[in-house]
Amino acid sequence: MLMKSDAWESRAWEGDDLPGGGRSEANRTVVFLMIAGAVMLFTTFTASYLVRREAAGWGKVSLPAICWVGTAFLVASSVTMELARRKTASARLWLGTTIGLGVLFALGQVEAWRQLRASGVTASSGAHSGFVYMLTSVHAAHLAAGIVVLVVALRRAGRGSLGGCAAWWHFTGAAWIWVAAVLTVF
Amino acid sequence: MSRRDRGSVWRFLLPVGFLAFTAATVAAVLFKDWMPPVASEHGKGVDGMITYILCAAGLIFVAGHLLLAKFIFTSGADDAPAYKPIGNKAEMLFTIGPTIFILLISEIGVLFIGNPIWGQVFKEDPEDFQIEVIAKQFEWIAHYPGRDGKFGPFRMEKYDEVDNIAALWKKDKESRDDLVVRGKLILPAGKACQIRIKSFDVLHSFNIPAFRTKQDAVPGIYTKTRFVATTPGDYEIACAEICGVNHYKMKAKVQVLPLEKYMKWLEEEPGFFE
Amino acid sequence: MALTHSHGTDAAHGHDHPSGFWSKYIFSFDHKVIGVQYLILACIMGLIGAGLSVWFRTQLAWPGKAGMSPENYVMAVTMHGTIMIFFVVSLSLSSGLGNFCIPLQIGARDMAYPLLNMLSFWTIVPGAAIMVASFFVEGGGAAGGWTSYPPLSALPKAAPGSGTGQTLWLLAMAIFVVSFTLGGLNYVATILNLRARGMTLMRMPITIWTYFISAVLGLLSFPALTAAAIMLLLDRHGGTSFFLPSKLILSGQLQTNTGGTPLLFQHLFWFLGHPEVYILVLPAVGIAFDVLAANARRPVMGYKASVFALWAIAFLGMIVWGHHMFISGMNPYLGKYFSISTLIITAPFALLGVCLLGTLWRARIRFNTPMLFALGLISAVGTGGIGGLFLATATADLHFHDTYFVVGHFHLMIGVTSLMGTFAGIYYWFPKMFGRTMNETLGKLHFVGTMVGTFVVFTVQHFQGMGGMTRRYYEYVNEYVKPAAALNPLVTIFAFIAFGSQLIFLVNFFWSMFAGAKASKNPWEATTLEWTAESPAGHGNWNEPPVVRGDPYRYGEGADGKGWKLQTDA
Ligand code: HEM
Ligand SMILES: [Cu+2]
Ligand SMILES: [Cu+2]
Repeated sequence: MLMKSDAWESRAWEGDDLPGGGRSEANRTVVFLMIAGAVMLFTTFTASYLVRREAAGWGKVSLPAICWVGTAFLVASSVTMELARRKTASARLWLGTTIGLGVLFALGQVEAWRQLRASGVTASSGAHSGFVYMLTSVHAAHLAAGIVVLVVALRRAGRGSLGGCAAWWHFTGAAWIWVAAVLTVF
Repeated sequence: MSRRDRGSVWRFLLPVGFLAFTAATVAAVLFKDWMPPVASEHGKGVDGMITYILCAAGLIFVAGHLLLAKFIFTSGADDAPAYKPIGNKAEMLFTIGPTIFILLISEIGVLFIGNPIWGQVFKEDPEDFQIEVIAKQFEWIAHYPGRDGKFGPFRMEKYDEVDNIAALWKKDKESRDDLVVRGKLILPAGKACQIRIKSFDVLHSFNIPAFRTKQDAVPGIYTKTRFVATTPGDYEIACAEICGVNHYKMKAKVQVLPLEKYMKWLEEEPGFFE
Repeated sequence: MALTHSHGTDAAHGHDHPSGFWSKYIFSFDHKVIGVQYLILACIMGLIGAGLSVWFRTQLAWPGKAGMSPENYVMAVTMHGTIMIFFVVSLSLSSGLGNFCIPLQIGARDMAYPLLNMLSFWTIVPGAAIMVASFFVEGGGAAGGWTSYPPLSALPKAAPGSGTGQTLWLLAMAIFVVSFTLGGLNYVATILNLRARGMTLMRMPITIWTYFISAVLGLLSFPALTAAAIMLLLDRHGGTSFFLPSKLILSGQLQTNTGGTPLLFQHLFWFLGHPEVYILVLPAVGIAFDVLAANARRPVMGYKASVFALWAIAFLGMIVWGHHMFISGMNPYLGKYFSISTLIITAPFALLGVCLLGTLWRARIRFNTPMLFALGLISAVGTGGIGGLFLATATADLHFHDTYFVVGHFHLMIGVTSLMGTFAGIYYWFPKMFGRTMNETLGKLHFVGTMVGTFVVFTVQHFQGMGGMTRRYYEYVNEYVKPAAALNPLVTIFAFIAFGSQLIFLVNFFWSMFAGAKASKNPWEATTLEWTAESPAGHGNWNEPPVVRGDPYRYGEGADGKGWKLQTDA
């Protein structure tokens, strides 16, 4: 995933016999770090949520049912992502399915926002609803980044490993479950 | 770059500069009392804490700069024989020794001197005088509970810039006898005062330098601080948290009265709605 | 990359060597060009940031004579702090020198993601432009302090700069965070994975360790600021109440927010803010180690101990943020905890300081400009660190918080230490950047001016703080503070000296780029990898991948009486 390197990438410079494992390891490092950073971001939001919850004007709302349908899509997409990663032969098919499921989830989110708004819940109508809109949007941004990466991977399918894409995609799925759990349980 | 640096002026200039800086700093600490005269009980403790760190840290500061100057001054010239290792033991002693020393003196300071005083500042004792201080852009308002010993609740809807700066309400019976003083905090000497601080708008900080008292005023919550003023006289509040354009003008007078005078003032001053 | 170097001489690379002006100097992928671009951007922003300080220092020394209103003052202070931290020190030290030296010191051809690297730079440029543009919007730039605590920063009516100015401030900061994060990813991946053969982790120069650790710190702590900024933006424009409590009264009007907690913002801000200090200081210390070793002609003392200390500082640095909030209304028990934990950091910090100092033990010092700055840095770090002992002790902080003691302390740390490290690095690597050396006489003048100017300014500010002189004040109208405030003219005069010396540097930097004396491959007779590349190093750094055969600081080795060995030597 990520950036195409310079034109003169060469094994002598970037091969896997370097002490740090070379370029392919670098991709892994970056994905790992991005996940670590995103985990910190969601942790910060969760901590803020727990602090803010103690104060006035919380006004808890519940997530529209369509969010749970979306959850199912995301879980399924993690499975298809794994298939894409393992079955090199049919990788394109499974990747496409994953992207499709991701897009379905995103559409579900848009519908969920619409429903919330229709029932008079806006970001400013209460503290909890503020968190609902904010956390779901921040998650959606991470998911969108994942979709973009998958589309790039689809176009280059067959070349290179899908490990990084898969890790990120699983992370966005896990992050969604995290977000949804925080928003409903606490 | 010159290679033959044996006679380099820097070999003298740098040590002299570092030593002059050290000497000037130490002299400034020793020969001038920079702190405003202290006028509260815990303030003496704060000053004691500061003196302790000044001594301990001063030692490190001086020793460090002496070593720095010495190493520079006595360093070999470029044609001296190549570096010979110093030896693991000596190096270990040189690195671990100061490290442990600094850790010990700083933790001992905070645990045995600092924390007990910190405790005094945040102690809650029902015997203490209760006073409320309200901060708003850009003034300080003192709010006393009056004879009933109870603060009237805030009714922000009733707030009025001119007539009701403390946002009290006539119909609350606790409010009736409350005292409200703008721009001046009147305090008793020798008696502990529990101050609860409220802000109506943004952050401010209730800071009486002579008392070594500082506590932010945070909208939405009460913050607390406690002190015993020791000496009757006039002092100042200076806001210590940026609160807007006129932050620098957000000051108020602090008047410490002998206890009897203070009690008399409390007795005689008519309540806000009386 | 060098402006003056011709293509023929470096027959280095058979690949498509960038030729056109645009691809070579503007949208270059070369880490060295990008590093220099960052440095130049930092110089421009530095002039603005320092210019602001000259303006408000004039006001402080001679109130009313600087043509400055209180509105201007709070804005100037806020923008000075923001620009200095995020657009000067971060850009020059972290992004500029980091980009330049990381691949060279670890033996990589370039960063792991050169395109991403170029994009990081071109992301920060509009960020800087927006920050500067915010001066000119209605109400002026942000005026809530660089910490931008709400409610002041959240309510447009609270301060003149809290309208459009604050929005642009947040936008520029968001752009900064994106760019800095991309840069950090690149640093970590490059250092972890692209080291040359033989370059094990424990053979890396300490500079590389510091860049590595600060990049990791940044990646883990900036998300907290991101979250805080998102919530602040929503509070400002989305009608939410994350940080805005109920029933505020502003200009006599009741606000409609409910239940927010302003302290939450402070926790999030300082969760980033404190690590950010280390992000800025550690690489400066790392560079000082390299420069000290090279010019003291001996290995650094306690390499392993220093690496350990750096990790300890980084780890502890993430759990001490509350020392900025002792009197913020935070639970007093937490105050005790943060006091104790912060003072534990003094141990690794002392260890680092002793290793710096010990590197001069039995030295054979060469007094060139980079070395002078490295020596000055030892004093700055020590003096600044000692101020930290006072501030970390909650009880003493009752008196010092938000006074000039703090201003003096953090300037010694993130102002003087970071910039001394940056300057040491620039003078030291200049030959590698441009194939020329900077002028030594001007360099030494720059050093003396910087040293004398900054040390007087910031040491005296400690004493003003002891006198209770509160910070962010347009003018000192309180009685008790008159003795401390009387020193303001003195401080300002030395601030002018410090500022003037930086102009000498700028002249020297740009003049030497074109007209400095030609430099050899290894002018300092240093041992680390970058000195095995040509001066200036071409795109791609080396023809053949270097192979590392020893420790980074091989001074005092070498049998032939030379007394030093390159890291690539057998
Ligand atoms: C010519 C050199 C400099 C001078 C004379 C100077 C002076 C000052 C002064 C007097 C203040 C406090 C103003 C007040 O509180 O009323 C200040 C604030 C500040 N300075 Fe500097 N400074 C210089 C360089 C730097 C550098 C290099 C940094 C880099 C980190 C820096 C970072 C800050 C920050 C973060 C603040 C706090 C801003 C705020 O209160 O929001 N300064 N400076
Ligand atoms: Cu204020
Ligand atoms: Cu800190």
